[in-house]
Parts: sequence; C-alpha cells; structure tokens
Amino acid sequence: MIHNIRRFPLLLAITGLSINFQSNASSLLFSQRSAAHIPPADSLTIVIKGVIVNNFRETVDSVKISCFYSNGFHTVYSDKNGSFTLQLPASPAETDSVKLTLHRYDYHLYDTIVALKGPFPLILAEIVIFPKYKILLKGRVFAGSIPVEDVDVTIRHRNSIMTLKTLGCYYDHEDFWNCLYNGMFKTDIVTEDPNDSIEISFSKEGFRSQVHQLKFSEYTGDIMKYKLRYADTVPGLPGNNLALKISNPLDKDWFVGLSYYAWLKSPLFNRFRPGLEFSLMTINRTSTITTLPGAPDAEFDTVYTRYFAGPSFLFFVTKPYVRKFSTYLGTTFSLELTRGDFVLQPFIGTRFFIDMRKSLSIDLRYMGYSVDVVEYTFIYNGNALHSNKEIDFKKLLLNIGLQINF
Amino acid sequence: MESKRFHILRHTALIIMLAFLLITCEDDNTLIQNNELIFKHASAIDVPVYTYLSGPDEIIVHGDSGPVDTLTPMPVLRWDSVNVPYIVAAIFSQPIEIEGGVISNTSDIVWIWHSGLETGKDGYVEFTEGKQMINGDIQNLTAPASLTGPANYYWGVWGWNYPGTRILFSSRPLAFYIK
Repeated sequence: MIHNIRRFPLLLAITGLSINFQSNASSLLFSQRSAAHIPPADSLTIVIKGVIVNNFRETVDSVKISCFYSNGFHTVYSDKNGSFTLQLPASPAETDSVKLTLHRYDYHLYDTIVALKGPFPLILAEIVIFPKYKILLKGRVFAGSIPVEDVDVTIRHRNSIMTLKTLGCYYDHEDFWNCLYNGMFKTDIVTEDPNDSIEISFSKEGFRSQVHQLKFSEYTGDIMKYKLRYADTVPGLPGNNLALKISNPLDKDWFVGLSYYAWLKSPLFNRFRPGLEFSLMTINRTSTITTLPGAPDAEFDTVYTRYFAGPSFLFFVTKPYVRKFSTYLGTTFSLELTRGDFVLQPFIGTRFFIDMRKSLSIDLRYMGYSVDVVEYTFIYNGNALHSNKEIDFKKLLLNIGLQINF
Repeated sequence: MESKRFHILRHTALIIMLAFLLITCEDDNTLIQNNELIFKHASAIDVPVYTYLSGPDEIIVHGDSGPVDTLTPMPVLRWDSVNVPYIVAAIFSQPIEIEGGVISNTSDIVWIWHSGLETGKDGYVEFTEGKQMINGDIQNLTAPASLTGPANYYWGVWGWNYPGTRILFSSRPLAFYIK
C-alpha cells in the first residue's frame, strides 16, 4: 500500500512487502524505478535499498541516511551513484515502521516513515530531494563614481526582510585607513526555488530611494553596482562657502577669483551671504608697431595682470539648498591694488551640486577698470620709444567655478 | 660626527641650489655691456676684412681690426649677417654719437640702407642700394650721391628684436677716408 505525498504519486517496486510512506517533508518525492533482481533476504534481516536523486535527475552522493526503528538506529551514506543499502535486523513476521532521515548540507532535511511488513527485501525506487540554493549577495552603492556608506539596504526575499547598511572606511588591524569595502553590503540568501525574486531597496537622506529586483538564478556572484541618484535638494547644507572661479579656457583674458561667503545663521537673512573676494585679471593686449618703411609691421602681445580685493555680497534668487540651478546675484566692491581704483564687479550665476558639499558654478561677471598700457614707437636710430597710456577695459566674463560648502 | 657631516652636506646642497637658481634666473636683460659697440647693451655685429671691386681696382677694407681705410666714393659695406627682421646700416659725416640709447646726430647721416628697402641684403650692401639722407630725411626718390672728399666718414650697422622695440645687435663704429 502506497500513500502519495504531496506532489505526485510515489511508486515503489517492492517484492513481497507492503509499505507505507508518510512524509513530513513536502518537497520530498519518490519516483518509480525498475525493479532489480533481489536475492532472498535473510529471515532476520530487512534490506532497504534506494537511490537518491535531486529534482534535476542527478544522483546525489554523500547523503547521510539515518534509519530509526524500534530496536535502534542505523546510518549509511549514499555512494557516488547516489545509492544506499540498509540492513535492519527485524522479525520477518513483525510489522514495523522505519523512519528515514536524509541529511546533506545543501539539501533539505528529508524525513519519512516507511511502514513495512514481511520478510522480503525492500527496494525503494528513487528518493527525490530538492536542493537548497544559497548565494552570497554582494553589492556596492555609488553616488556617481564615489562609494556611499551608511546607505540603508533592505533585502526582501519571500517572507524574510533583511536590513543592512553599506560599509564605510575603517582602520584595519595594521592601522591603515582601509576603504576597500566602502559602500559595500553582503548577505547570505537561501532559497528552494531559483526562480524566487529578491527585492533590494536603498534609502539614504539626500538621495532618491530606489528599488531593484532580480531573480535568484540571475545572480552571477559578482559584486552588483548600484548608483544612487541625488534628491532634488541637499539636506543639511551648511551656509558658508569657499569658491574658486576661473574664466573659461576659450577666453584670451583670464580671471581667477577666490571668495568666501558666510552664513549669518538668521532665518531673515537665509538667502544673503556677505563675504570677501580676492581676484586677479590678466589682459592680453596685442600691439602693432610700424617699423622701417617698406618692412612689415610688427605685432606683439603684452599681458597686464591686475589684482583686486574687497568685500562681496551674494543673494540667492532661488533656495540655496536646491541641487540644480541654485541661482544667485552678487557684487564685489573691490580695490584695484596697482592703481588703487575702486572697481565694482557685479555678477550673476548659478550652481549645481556634484555631491553633498561641492558644487560647480557658472557666472557672468562684468569687469570694468582702467589699465596703464605701454605704447611703443619705433625709431630707426635706437631702441623704441615707450610711453604709458591709460585705456578703459570693459568686459563681460563667463566664469566657471567650484564651491565647497562647509 | 655623523651629524656634522650631514650639516656640511646640507650646506653644500643649499649652495649648489642657490648657484643654480642664480644661473637660471639670468635672462637676456642682463647682456654684458660692450663699450666698443655703438649700442653698448647689444651683441656684436662683426665686420670682417673684405674686398670689393671698383672698376679694375680691388679695394681692401680691414673691418673691425684694421686701420682707417681709404675707400672709393661709392663704397661697399659688408658685415656678418645676424638674421634679424629689422636692420640698418648708415654712413655718417661725423663720429656717431649716442645719448640715452639713441643715436643723437642723425643729421650727420649722409647715406642709409635698411631691411625695408627692396635692394641690398643683410650683410652685403652696395652704395647704390642705399638711400641718401639730408638733415635726417631719407631721399627715397633719388639715387644716392657719391661721397665727397677729402673727408673722414663713419659707418655702423645695428639690428632690432622682432617687434622692433630693442636693439639686439650692433657693430663697432667704423671709419674710412675718401680722397
């Protein structure tokens, strides 16, 4: 008599024995195997033979088979072909039940009870067991190309929810600052069904939350890379900033400015920043000299560098903590350090953050000041005569810059 | 003992570094002054010994090193070319005078050649390839008049840097005699 277990009927080739299978492991199956010729058993011995296969029809070796019966227990291992043989001392006339327990670390524990009766050998056709799949899920979270630590990682698989945080840098046992695992997370996941899905979600302040899904079987074992996208605002942005500005490389006149703006820590002046700015401007001026009659005119470039310093004021037109296109107006009341002239430098600009503290800026700045330039007059009887001439320099500069907020 | 040796080595290294800095800081503004030249802060344009033909006669000019030569009224001027874009050669009726880095007696120039003219070349100029000057004005439209004698004349060559702001090369003041 054969009792079905949950998935499909279990058939056994049995010679002369009535057997009951009662399984308490739902994934455990028996399937039919052709009967082999069984020699007559000793009247005092029950022989149980079987083959263990997995659900891919592969034989499974090294399975520990523990057999419990009324007079004790017996343990054998399946051989390289997956087969095993148990010989139990039993009274041929006695009806007994035998409990088989199959152990292997990467397979499910399998328990079943075999009810047997009679003096004949028992042959189990196949015991089908289902493997467990275990993966070490590894990932690394980036913002741009920089690993991000302390990201909350939630991994959902079936009914289990694992919460992790990405790792940061640390001092290792050799007292080196080790960032090898910065932004990484890992966890073991075990499943019975490779088609299971895993959901991984990330969240961190200042970034958009993200959810990723993958199938268990899709995981290749590599470190998965996830890129977080910044949120639209920068949380906890400090108000002070240090900025370096340079004119765009295509411009022949060069501007370099270094500025510091302070936050007044007052809600009334949240968009207002007073500060200081130091800058220099180089003008590249091409002069033409008329030389000897009949000879071509000569051209030469002269660079005039002027330095400026003075208070500067900034007013944010948009909210300062907006990540993209936070626009500002400003002006610097500077002193030109060569001549001592007062020079006003109004500007308008916008910035966008590249991470939580650094931002790139583009601004348009008006520069207008007087410069003493040297004029040369060629003479045929000696060195050229030179004289100073004041010119008015006026220009709208397109500057690019980097701001550090602290 | 080791410490003392270390200090000696350190001081030696420091001196070598300073010497290196001093050498590398030198630029062309620190040209050695040469009082023999017309323009003292320029490099020399050498005038070698040369000859030229005047009819059947071969006239020898001793250049920088020789005595005052007696030349023909339409002499040929030669010098070692220096390959600069702007160069002038001039004959004076009086010794060349310099004041503040400029030739002051331009009114004494009687003949001039410069690199803007279509004739002549840097290093070799015949008298007819130059222009006559009267009271400092170049006579572009007329052929140069022969030099008259008996008299002493003086000549020199000088050249500028590219933009024409500074004289980089200069010859010594040279003299010759016209019978």
